[in-house]
Amino acid sequence: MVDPRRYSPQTIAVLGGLAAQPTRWRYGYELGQQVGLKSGSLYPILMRLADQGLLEAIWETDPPHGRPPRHLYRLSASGLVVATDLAVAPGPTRRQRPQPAGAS
Amino acid sequence: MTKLRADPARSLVSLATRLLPAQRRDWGQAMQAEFDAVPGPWARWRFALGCARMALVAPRQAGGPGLLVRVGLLAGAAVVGLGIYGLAPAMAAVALLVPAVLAGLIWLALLRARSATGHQGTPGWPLQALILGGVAGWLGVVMYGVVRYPAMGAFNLWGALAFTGLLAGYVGMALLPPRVVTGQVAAARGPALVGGLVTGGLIVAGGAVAHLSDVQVLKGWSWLGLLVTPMVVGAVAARSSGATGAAAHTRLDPGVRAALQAGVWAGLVGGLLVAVGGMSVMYLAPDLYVPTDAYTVHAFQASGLPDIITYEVLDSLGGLSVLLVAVPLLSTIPAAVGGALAASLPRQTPAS
Repeated sequence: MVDPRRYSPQTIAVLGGLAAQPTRWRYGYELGQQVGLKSGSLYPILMRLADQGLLEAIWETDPPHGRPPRHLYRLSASGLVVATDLAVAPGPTRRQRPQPAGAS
Repeated sequence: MTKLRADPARSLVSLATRLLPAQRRDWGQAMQAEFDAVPGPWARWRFALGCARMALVAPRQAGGPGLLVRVGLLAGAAVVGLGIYGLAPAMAAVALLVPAVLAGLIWLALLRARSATGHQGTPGWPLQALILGGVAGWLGVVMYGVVRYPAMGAFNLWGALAFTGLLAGYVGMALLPPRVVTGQVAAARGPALVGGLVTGGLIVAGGAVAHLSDVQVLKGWSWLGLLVTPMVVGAVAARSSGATGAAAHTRLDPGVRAALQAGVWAGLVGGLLVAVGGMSVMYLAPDLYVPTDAYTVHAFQASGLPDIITYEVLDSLGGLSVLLVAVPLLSTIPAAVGGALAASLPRQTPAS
């Protein structure tokens, strides 16, 4: 069983966000928007998750014309186990402030 | 031809990427690619600021000394700040600003050292030690003056900001020299070290001898060192660089570039030597510096200070602060001239 105290609420939110669609590759900005984290908080979390082998990261292979390839993320098998163990529901972090509908 | 527009937010993301350690560089590239997909200027700025913050707090690979270094820096800054305040309470604002800024510069230097492409070369440890020692020396002589002559008064915020900015400039050039002064580091280091010591030594020695012997002409001639020495330094650095002709990536001849680098660092060393040496000589023999000319005496009477030595010390601290800025700037000009002259001379080509 995973000890939830090892993970910050923000990390749990990221795990939850990724676990909501575990097979789908996600963009960083989109994931940050979903879980209400800014880049300064999101990327260190993604780095740690990747270091721990809980996250897979690849480069986009066929980006739209005129746009550089972006990084894509999804949970690894062990990441999915951790997310399931934590029984996290996908959703915003506790600190997230409500955002107006349609805000980017 | 497409004209590229400056995008400060994008530049910030690029800077954040360069600050990342080599093993995290792909994450920086990921942020840069993601930046292009962020819609709207406000969101882009928020994203870029987040990336900058991330570069400063990026988790190290397992086993790294990150936490230890951070704690050490914070503790060191606190000790230095408390030390300054404890010894010279009139420098309270300095005690707050200087350790914080210096700790920040050291942290950035550590980040740069860990980064693969961000490391642009440094002046080398002898020059770094001399410049950092000189900065500590200048801080020391200013503290001594404030304590010994309390009638000078306390540092106000603007004074503390200017003082901190000056120290930060010196420390920054020692630990984080910009790219423009690190293209030819190997050729510039030696001449800069010797040239800085000679320039500063000549000015201090000339001034001291002039006061002791009352031969004022020596004081004037000693300042010629500021003109001649950097020129020689520049010429030697340019010849040592062993390259001629502008490189593809720079508009400057590598020899002139080496000369400029040597001139800047020689000026930093020379400026600190003049400032610390000059004030030390004054503290050792303050009576020799009592002015007798009518203009200075009148200025002292108008200053409201209780004694003329305090006035002279305060005046010297101000004057030497200006020299700390002026000497490095002035030394680059003759150094560049010397470098350009040396670069224009024909070189011996090895016989094939």
